[in-house]
Amino acid sequence: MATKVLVVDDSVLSRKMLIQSLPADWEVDITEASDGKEAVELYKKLAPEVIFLDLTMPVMNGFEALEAMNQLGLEADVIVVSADIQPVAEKRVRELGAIAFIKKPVSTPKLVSILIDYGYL
Amino acid sequence: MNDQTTLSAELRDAFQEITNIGMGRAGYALARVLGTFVELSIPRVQMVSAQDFIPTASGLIGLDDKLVAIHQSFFGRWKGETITIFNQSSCDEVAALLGYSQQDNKYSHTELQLDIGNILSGACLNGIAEVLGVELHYNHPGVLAENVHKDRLFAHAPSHWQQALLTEVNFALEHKTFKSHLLILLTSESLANLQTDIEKFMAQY
Repeated sequence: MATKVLVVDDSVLSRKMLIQSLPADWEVDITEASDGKEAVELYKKLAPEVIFLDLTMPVMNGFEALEAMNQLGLEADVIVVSADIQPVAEKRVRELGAIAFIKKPVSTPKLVSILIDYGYL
Repeated sequence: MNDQTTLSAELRDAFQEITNIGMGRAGYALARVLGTFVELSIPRVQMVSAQDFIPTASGLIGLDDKLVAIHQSFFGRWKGETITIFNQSSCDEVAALLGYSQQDNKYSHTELQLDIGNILSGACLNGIAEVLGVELHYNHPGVLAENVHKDRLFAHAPSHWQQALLTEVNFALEHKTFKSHLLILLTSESLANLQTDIEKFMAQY
């Protein structure tokens, strides 16, 4: 069965780059969101298994979205994909339950190793 | 000349995202130098004409206290200039974070302001250039304005270009008073090269 994946980023290019970087043999059902608020709504509605989450976004940023998902009970594996590469940013999202932190621009090998570690491949 | 006065929505989105990555690298560099978490904004990108520059740029500045503006031009594959704007009152705070002591007479007030402008604009522009594999060169920074409110910042508007791509990002230091805006102006003659560089980057995906 296809894994339900939510891709959250305000940049169209960034979402496209991430989706293109996913391994071709991973069967996925992808939904996209362009800000944190939309992501939280889709999280409630679709219960995705994997969420790729950007941090710097309008309306609601990635930190706030992750906090909101925690309040709802975080069931998904959240992989933060961020341009903000400060160690403090990584520490904060890990404390909020993110399983991994990837620096932009994304690289397929890095993504694959995380997906293997969590049993998706 | 290859002057271009527009940028497609797709390219603008791409440049915004590349700026975001460049800014992330700049934020990391700054956080290391200053030992504090740097809050990053979403870049704002738009075309601007020389005659609209002053109202457009003033409209992007969200600081109401007395400000300093440092400008620095760059050249190479892209041409343009950066203007770094920050609140005058936070200079001493940044000096302390950078390890400059008040007794240290080697650094004048002006040198410190130029250093702040240089660090911010250099880190961000180099971050962008690095993502796109471009090398840039810089001229010496200068003080554009100091101790003025935002409506007086751009009394002397740049006059050597007609159209430019204006990018605004802002940096703030968590739990500190320092707040800054960085304006990056890329002249229209650089846009053809920029477009090629972005397309080359996007072709990897």
